[in-house]
Amino acid sequence: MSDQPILQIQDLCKDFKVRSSKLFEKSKQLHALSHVSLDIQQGETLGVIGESGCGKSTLGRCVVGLHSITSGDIFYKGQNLKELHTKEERKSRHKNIQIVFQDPYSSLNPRMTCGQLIEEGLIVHNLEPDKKKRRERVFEMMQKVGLDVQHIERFPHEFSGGQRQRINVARALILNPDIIVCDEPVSALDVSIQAQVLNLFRSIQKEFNLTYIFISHDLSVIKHVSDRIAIMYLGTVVELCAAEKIYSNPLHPYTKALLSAIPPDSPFEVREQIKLEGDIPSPIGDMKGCPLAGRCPYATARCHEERPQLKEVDPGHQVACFLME
Amino acid sequence: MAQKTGALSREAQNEMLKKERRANNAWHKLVRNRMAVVGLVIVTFVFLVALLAPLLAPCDPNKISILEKFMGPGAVDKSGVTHLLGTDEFGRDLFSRLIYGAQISVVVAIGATAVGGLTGILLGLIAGYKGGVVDSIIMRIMDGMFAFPFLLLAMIIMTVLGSGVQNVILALGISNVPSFARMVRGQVHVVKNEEYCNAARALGESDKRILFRHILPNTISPIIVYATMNMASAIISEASLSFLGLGIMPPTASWGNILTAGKSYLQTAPHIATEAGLCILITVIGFNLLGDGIRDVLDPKMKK
Repeated sequence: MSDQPILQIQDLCKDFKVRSSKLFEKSKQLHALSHVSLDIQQGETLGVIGESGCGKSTLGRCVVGLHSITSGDIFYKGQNLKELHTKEERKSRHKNIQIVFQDPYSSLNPRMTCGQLIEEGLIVHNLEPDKKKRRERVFEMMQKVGLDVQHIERFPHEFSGGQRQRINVARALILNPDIIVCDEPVSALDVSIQAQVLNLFRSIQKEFNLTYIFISHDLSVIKHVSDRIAIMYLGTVVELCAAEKIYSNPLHPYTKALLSAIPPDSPFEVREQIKLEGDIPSPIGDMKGCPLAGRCPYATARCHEERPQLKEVDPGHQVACFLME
Repeated sequence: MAQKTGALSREAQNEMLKKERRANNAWHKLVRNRMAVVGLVIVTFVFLVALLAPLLAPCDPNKISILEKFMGPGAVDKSGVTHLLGTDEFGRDLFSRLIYGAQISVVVAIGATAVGGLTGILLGLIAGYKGGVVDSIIMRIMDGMFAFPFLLLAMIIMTVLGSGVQNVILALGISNVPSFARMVRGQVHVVKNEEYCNAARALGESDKRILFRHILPNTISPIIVYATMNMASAIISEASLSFLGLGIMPPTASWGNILTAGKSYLQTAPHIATEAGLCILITVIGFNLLGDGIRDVLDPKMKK
């Protein structure tokens, strides 16, 4: 991993304004992401996992530019995505970083046919001005993602969930992007379809040399697809390491708790269960100390005062916890 | 057949595609909808009548003969002319007047709806999509226009502009703008946060393209229904304006004119108002059926 990462996220923060329900009360800040730093290498799959509301999707949407960034930087191949001034620069960012959404039902315009949906990107970026050739490209792409070409004139409601997700993939893929952000792409699908779509993701990754940011809350899915895994809790990355390692050697208390929640393979296996007491603290308002401090069984006085930084404990294994220092 | 059925032949595939394209084709969908066809026939008929009025009308619509007033339908006057639908309070042939009246009424109905609809839709789209200050400014102006009753607003504009068909269209159109704008804005608010608009944004599409390719098509159904209803009320409003002396000037026939004039003689000569009213009714039904049909055609889920 000596060469430059394809995507660098540095100290990324994203706040949302929460309007108060009371009159004349000041609006509060919701810290969806606080100081997230990640490097993503060309061709790898970075799994991002965490419970709902921890900022996984916000991270993905910041990367593709659907959310503006509050502070911090994102570099794509060394270029700061905050400093895209011309229309062309902005367009090329969208061309190179694509997203596949979670919900295959609402993410396709119900009034456009499958063919129109897929060729949209080609029209917008003017990649194939000729109508016939464009059609050929759409046919090609449909075959690649495993859609029947005779379905090109059909509308989204005539497809199943898995097929729609394939349309979504085709729509992202036709721009020939470098990075695809997969925002829980299989969580809305049946388990049998999930496997199919996951295998599709894997095969197109090989073919197009894609880099994935794979967001999910499903531990088994993320284990299956990722090279490295980032574990998020309340807007921060608490642990980052290679996929196998996180299962064999979890270091952060939150990761341990998360993994111990997986049911054991055999009923006779005795496993240490780590229970986190209490609820997730609210991300609204300013926080002091480690976000997990209130629930962590190992919390010390320092945890309540300072926020731990992500630090490398083993090569390629980063943890944000004072216990590891 | 010993042949393996796996991949379809290229020809069979093209045949299937052609079939689906046909199923998606707007005209074919419209023709298969029986009520829409009825609507289309009525509307076309009214259009033709309006267009060919000089050829179809048996008499001069403005020729007054005081002696032959209030004649019932089918009456024959002294000079031997049959008045198919009778005569009005000045002895003018109602059949001819209704035929000529179609010109004004159809033009006003379509014109007013088009003027109001197009401006209203555009303003609503911008207000709903941009939000913030732009939204506030546009919608407050619309609220200001809403503060005046519809007819009063139209009257104000008419007094400023003066009478005439164009001005009636303009006045009714402008009065229609706020209701269109408000409805469209509400719809845009719902649609613009749908995931497929985010997907379009992530593809790098321009605001204009998102508005007209993704948002407008998904808000069009209620707009079409409202627009067809609006045609009916435009015909009536034109009548009210004319009745107040602000719309089409008296000798010129319009359905609204005839209807309001006939209202005074409902007890002695009910056929005048009835006939004009029936004309309006049938035209409005035609527009409504056609509008429903078009809405169904535009809805991909209605494919059969």
